[in-house]
Amino acid sequence: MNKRSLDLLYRSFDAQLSEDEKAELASALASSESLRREEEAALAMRDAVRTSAVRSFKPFFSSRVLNRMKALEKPNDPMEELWKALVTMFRPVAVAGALTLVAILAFNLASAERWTLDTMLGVSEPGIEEVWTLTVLEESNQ
Amino acid sequence: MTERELIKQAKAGNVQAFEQLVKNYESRVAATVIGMLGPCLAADDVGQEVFIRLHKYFGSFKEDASLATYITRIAINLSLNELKRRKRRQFLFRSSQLTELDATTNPDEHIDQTESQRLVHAAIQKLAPEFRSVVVLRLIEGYSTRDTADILGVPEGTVLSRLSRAQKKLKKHLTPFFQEKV
Repeated sequence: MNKRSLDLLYRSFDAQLSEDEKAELASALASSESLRREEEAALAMRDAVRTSAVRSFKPFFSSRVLNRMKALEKPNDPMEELWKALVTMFRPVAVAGALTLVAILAFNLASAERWTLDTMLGVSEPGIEEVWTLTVLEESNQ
Repeated sequence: MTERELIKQAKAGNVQAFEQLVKNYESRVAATVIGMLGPCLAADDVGQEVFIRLHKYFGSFKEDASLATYITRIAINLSLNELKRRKRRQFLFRSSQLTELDATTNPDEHIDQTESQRLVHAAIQKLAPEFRSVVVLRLIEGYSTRDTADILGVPEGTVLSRLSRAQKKLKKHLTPFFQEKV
């Protein structure tokens, strides 16, 4: 059984072979037992596939289709529509805001020497000079 | 009522005529969709969607064309979309088992299957979608090679080569189970 005979065999199931090809296949089938076995196997397999078909859905399929069509045709609640529109409109803003916040927190953490809540929020710790200046200013105001 | 009359009435908005068309074509759509997706719960949803699409786009259907081919084309396209969705989910969740899970852990229990039917379905599910579609249309639905090519929008030669490769793969998968038959 050579590749050419095998290809001809499979083509013969689904396409019209030329007269020459038909003769070639017939001669190959006559001389090769393995090709004949292949033909039998292929035909049995095709039959198994054809008879395996499931030809119905769950019971009351047509009723389910019509119910679903009715549900789709029903006008939607205006409040629900408004809510959906608002969610659709603000979703990108919310996502962009959340991403920006995460980026700021990441930047603050990356540039901080110590990891504390203040450094994460970008609040710098006052140095001793700043505390001194503030105290002096406060006293002079009083 | 003839099919032509049913189509005319359904297009005009007659619900009973449309319901009759659904009943007439349920078996064809079931064979196509279940053949493509396996006997899973999603198949019923896709089957319903086929008729909803038909209803929605009935206006563009030419009455001299074949309704069977028109419906089968919708069924194949929706099934291919469902397979793409599965593939995306599989990619997102990085689970190589998801396709099998869809068909086996969510089986439609209302579908009675013999052991050999189960084996054949499992073997068909192992084929890539482009091979599966030619097997379903040509071997299950019995469309000619030309009609199969028309429905899928590919040349006839492509259908023939896909069929040949698909049958060799199917035979490989099924041989251990059908030793005495195959």
